[in-house]
Amino acid sequence: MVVNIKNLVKRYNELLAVDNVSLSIKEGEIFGLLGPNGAGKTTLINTILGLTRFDEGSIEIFEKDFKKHEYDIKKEIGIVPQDLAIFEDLTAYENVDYFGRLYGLKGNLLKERIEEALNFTGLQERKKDFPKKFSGGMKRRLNIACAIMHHPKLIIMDEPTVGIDPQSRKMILESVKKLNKMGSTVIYTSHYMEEVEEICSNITIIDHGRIIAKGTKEELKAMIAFEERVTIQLSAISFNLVDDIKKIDGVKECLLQENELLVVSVRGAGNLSRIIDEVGGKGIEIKGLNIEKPTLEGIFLILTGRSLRD
Amino acid sequence: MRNIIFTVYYTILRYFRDKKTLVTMIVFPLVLIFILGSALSTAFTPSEMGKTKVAYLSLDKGGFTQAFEEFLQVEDVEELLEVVEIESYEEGVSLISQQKVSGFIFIEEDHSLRLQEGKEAKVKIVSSRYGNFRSKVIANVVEAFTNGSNAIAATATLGKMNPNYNPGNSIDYSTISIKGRIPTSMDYYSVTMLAMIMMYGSSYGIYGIAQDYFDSIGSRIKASPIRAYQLYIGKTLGIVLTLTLQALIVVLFSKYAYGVNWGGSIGVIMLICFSLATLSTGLGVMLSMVTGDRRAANNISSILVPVFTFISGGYMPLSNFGGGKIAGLFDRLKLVSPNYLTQRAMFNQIFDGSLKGAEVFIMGLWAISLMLFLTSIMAGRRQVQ
Ligand SMILES: Nc1ncnc2c1ncn2[C@@H]1O[C@H](COP(=O)(O)OP(=O)(O)OP(=O)(O)O)[C@@H](O)[C@H]1O
Ligand SMILES: [Mg+2]
Repeated sequence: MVVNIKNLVKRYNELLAVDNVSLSIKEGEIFGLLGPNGAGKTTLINTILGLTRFDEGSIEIFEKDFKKHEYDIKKEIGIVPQDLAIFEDLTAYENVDYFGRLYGLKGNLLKERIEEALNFTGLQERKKDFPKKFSGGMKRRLNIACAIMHHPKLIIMDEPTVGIDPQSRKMILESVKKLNKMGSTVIYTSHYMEEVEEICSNITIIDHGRIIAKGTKEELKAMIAFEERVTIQLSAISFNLVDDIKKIDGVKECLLQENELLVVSVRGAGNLSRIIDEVGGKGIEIKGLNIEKPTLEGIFLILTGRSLRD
Repeated sequence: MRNIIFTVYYTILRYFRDKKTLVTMIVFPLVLIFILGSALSTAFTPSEMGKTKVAYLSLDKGGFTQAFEEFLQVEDVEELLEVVEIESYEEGVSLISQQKVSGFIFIEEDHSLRLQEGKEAKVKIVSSRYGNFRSKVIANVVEAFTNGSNAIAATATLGKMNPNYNPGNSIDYSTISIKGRIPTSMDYYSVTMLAMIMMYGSSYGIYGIAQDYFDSIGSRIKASPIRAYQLYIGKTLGIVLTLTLQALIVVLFSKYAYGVNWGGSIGVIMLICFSLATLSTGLGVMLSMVTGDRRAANNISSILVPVFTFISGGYMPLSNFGGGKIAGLFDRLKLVSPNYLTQRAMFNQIFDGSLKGAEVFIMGLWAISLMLFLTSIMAGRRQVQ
């Protein structure tokens, strides 16, 4: 277990920022921590890093007690803070050099790793420039470069993609996957559903400091998939089609709009082939078929009654 | 150790890249020194440098001694000299070698007699450091008297002794004669403006440490395996050295471009600068830690620094400012001003040429620094949430 948190509680005076959270993160995972603004993501991460004291519970990292092995543990972690944490008055190269030294790198290894990190984030050509000349996306990438040059076992990224161009975002998401393939466990927080859905193997959703759902992507979706929706584009229509499909087991609703048939079934009905047979049996050609999958966005909506980005 | 060194390196690098602050810390004081130094170009009187301590022994019981001792009590002379009466010649010499006094005035047993007989009689002045400002003051006071008394002796012989002879008048002459030795206003403001700008350097301490403690960069640094004390020492030392280097530039520029008298040893001046830099950094760190709020810390320091500068005579010499009670209050207040300690240390070094005279003030600076850093460490412990 890379991270093991038990019954963690953190209060800011009256405000309960982390409310009895337990979670464990396995080696090799990309662990997604999803939640809206103020959910407590950053607070949770900061307690893991020892940046914020917590009131109750326990945190184990690399199966060691944080307090006893603080410096050994810190050496193996890379942190990409939510707010840019780079020096505006140092060049890209110097920034990475500074943080590399903080992690005890020196000599040739340090130089190698700086080049590697700059290449990795696509900043090699701009290494002599100051961040004030950088776009938002480039700054974000430098923010990442400063966190990975020591090849940490655990990389924690706190919303590394806020407010940047799609190209940089794509690059960052790709690099997260690459880092993970190279052996790092990743904790990735976001309030962007698509991102977490794209890269994370395990996801925990928090709101108001509480875990409201956790599991793999599929498990989470299954939790809320009360119904399955299929839309079928037809070459023609037939009079009894709607009535006949409604007779199929599990079908709750069937609607025909122009040439498109919408079939809503109860969850796990397993009746798709019978629906297709029914259509085919009437001599109608199927021009297209679309199975609507539940999204994480939908999960959040259902669990909290609110949209993630309000 | 490596952690401390690269932190120092990057701290200095970053401050020297900050052109705006660099202008404030280097160009601004140089301009002020030039303007104040040339606008108020009248020389300062020696009394503004504080009294010169002198040992005094006369073995002569005659009229000369009596007249000389009266002369020493004339107000103008008392402003210049603090006389320590001693018992033996050896004592005088030893006080000088211990640097407890700047000079020793000695009058031989038969002085009055020899004068009456028209023989040559000289007042002996002993000083270990010839040519420095304070021994020059002593020499000139004695010279002023002997010139006067020679004049009396001469007129007395002719039977036209002037009973209204006022030896105090001859001091004017001596003031003029030592003009070249006393600080010009350029010299004076070089020291006070340097002290002031270095005190304003406390904002380096405020923002420098604040960045590493409260900003997102601070989170990143705290999440890294550097020990807090290494970071703290490296950062602080980096700021102190930055301020000292900036001071060095001001000192060298004013020395060669304005001809400011920084005394015989730039090394000692830099030691004093280093001490003040430590204090002002400590002040910034302390304010930042105690308030936990840079804006508040900066507001406090931007009130404190002008006050410190004012009470220590940084903007204008304050000898007897406001008169009576007010002057007395200022005299006591200025003792807690780091600017005052710095100025005294520097003036003593420049015009006495002695580290001894500066030592006590340098130690004062370090004592205050120590208190400031201890306070910040205690406040820092409290602040981690
Ligand atoms: N230092 C602090 N003092 C008091 N309250 C705080 C502090 N830091 C965070 N909070 C509060 O704790 C709650 C959780 O904040 P946190 O920053 O962890 O949320 P988040 O999920 O990271 O949000 P975002 O997506 O906006 O980054 C919020 O209500 C916030 O106002
Ligand atoms: Mg956050």
